[in-house]
Amino acid sequence: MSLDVRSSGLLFAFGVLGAAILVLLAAALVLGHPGWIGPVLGLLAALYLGHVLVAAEANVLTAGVVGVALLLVGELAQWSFDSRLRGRYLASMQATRAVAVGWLVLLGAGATFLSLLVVGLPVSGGLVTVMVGVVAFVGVVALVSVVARRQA
Amino acid sequence: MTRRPTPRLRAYLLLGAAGLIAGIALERPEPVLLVTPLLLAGLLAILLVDEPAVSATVSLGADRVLEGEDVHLEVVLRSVRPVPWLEVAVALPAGLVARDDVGVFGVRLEADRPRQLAVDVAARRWGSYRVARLVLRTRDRFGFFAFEATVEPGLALRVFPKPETLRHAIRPAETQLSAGNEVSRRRGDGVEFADVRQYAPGDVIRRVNWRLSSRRPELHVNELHPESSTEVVILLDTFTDLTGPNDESSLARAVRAAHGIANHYLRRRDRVGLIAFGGSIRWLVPAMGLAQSYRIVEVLLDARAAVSILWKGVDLIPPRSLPPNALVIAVTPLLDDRTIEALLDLRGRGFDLAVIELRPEGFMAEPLDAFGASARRLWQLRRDQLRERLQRLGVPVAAWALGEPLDAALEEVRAFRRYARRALA
Repeated sequence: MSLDVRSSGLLFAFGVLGAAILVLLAAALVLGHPGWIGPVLGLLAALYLGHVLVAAEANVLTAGVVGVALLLVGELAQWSFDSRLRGRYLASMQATRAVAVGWLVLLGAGATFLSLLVVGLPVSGGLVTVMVGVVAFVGVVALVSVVARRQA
Repeated sequence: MTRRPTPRLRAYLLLGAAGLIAGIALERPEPVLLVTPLLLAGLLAILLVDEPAVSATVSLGADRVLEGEDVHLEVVLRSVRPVPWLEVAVALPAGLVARDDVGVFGVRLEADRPRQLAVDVAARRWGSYRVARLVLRTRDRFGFFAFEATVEPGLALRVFPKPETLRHAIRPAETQLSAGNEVSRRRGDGVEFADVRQYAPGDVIRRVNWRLSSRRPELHVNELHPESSTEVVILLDTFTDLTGPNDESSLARAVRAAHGIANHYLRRRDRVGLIAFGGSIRWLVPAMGLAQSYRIVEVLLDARAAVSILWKGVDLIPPRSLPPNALVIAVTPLLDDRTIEALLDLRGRGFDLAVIELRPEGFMAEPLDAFGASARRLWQLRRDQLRERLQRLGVPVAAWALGEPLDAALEEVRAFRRYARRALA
C-alpha cells in the first residue's frame, strides 16, 4: 500500500515535523547542547525514512544526498559548538577545521556515490550487495588512512 | 591525557548501526545509503585518532607584586606531533584575573615547534597564590575526540597589600626610653621646648634661659622633651570578613590599613608588632627595621577569616607581643563579641588603645521592608551604645567608611585623644 506523497495534507504533516526538528536543532545551537546533535540527526533520518516508506517507491539517489546532508549538518553544528568558547583563537584553526569538514563530506559523498553504483548494478539481492559494497568501501578507506598515517 | 569521545561520534555510530539494521529489516537500500556517510566518518575518526603529546611550561615575570599591579604569565607549548586544535585555559585563583578577560586560547601546534602564549594577570587582591592551573584540551583533526590534561606548575606568587597612605600617625600616650622620632611627654635631653623652671644645682649651663633670667632675680633653665621611640601593636580582627559591592572585603581593607600603619611607624624608626586575632591567632613581637616590615607582610598575606566557635581572649596572646606602654591600634569591624571583649580587656589592663572601626554598613544590603529597617535601626543603636561604652573608657573609636581615606579616620582618633580624653579625665 502506498500513499500519494504529493497530497497537500501529507506534505504539510512532513513539513511541520521537519520544521519542528529544525527548531530543535536551532534550540540546541542557541542553548549550547552538543548532546542534542545525535537525536536531531536521528529524527531527521527517521523523518526521511518515514517519507520513503509512505511513498513506497525506491529513491536511492535522494537517500544518498540526504545522508551527505545529514553528515554536513552534524559537522557544522559540532564546529559551531567547538568555536564558541570565549577566548582568543587563531584564525588558521578554523581554516583547518573547514578543510577537515570538507574532507569528511567529500569522503561521505564518495562513499555514497560508490554505494549508489553498487545498488545500480544488475545483480539480484541488491540490499546484500549494497551492504557488501559499503563495508568494502569503508574498509578500503580505513586501510588507506592507516597506511597514510603510518607513512606520515 | 584523558580521551573523551564527543557525543557526535557515538551518535554517528549508533545511527550507522540503526541504518544497517533498518535496511535489513525493511529490505530496502535507502536506510543503508542514508547512514553510509555517518558510518564512514565515525570509523575514520576511530582509525585515525592519535594520542597527542603536548607539554606546557609556565613562567611568571615576577614572584612578588603589589596589589593592583600586573604580572606577565608566559606559557610555552610543545608537541612532538602536529596538533590541529588545542585549547589552553588558564585557571587563575580568586584574586587574580586575566587582563582583557581572556582566559582561553585556541592555537595550532606544529611538530617540535614551541609556541608561546602571554597572559597579563592583574593582581586584584593581596595574598599568597599558587599560579596557575592550565587545562589543555586538544581535538583530533575531525573533532571527534577531545583529550584533556591539567598542568599544575605550582608557581608561587605573592601579592603584597597596597598600603593605605598616612600623613600623620596617632601619638602614643607613652613613649619608650630608646631614642626615636616621637617627641616624648617626659622631660629630659631633647630639642623640643617643654617648659622653664628655676635653676637647680647640677643643671647644665647651656640650658639657662638668659632672656628670662635677666628679668628675674634668680636663674631659670629650659626644660626639653626628648625624642623617643614608640611601640605600636596593631591588632587585626580576623574573626570576620564582610564582602560588599565590587568584591570589596572588610578584611582586605583591614589588611591594607594595618600595612599602611605599620609602614608609617617603621619609617619613623618605631617598634611595630602585629597580632592577627581571629580563628587562628598569629603575632609578631614589636621590632623595628626593614626585616620587621617583611615579617609583617608575611603575616598579613596569611591573614584569613577562619571560622571558629572557640572563645578566645587576650590571655592567649603572649605577653611579649603586648609590651606595657605600647599603643594598641585595633582594626576591626566590631562585629565579633570576642574582639569586643578583648578590646575591653586590653583597656582594663591599662593599654593605650585606639580602635579603627571598619563600618560594616557599606557591606550590607539595604533593608527590604519596614521590619528590616526597624531591625537595622535597633542594630545600629546597639553599635552606638558599644562605641559610647568604649569612648567612656577613653578608647577613641574612629569610623572608617568605604571610600574614605584612612587619614580621615585617624584624624578622628587624634582629635579624641587631644580633647575628649582630657575631658573624661
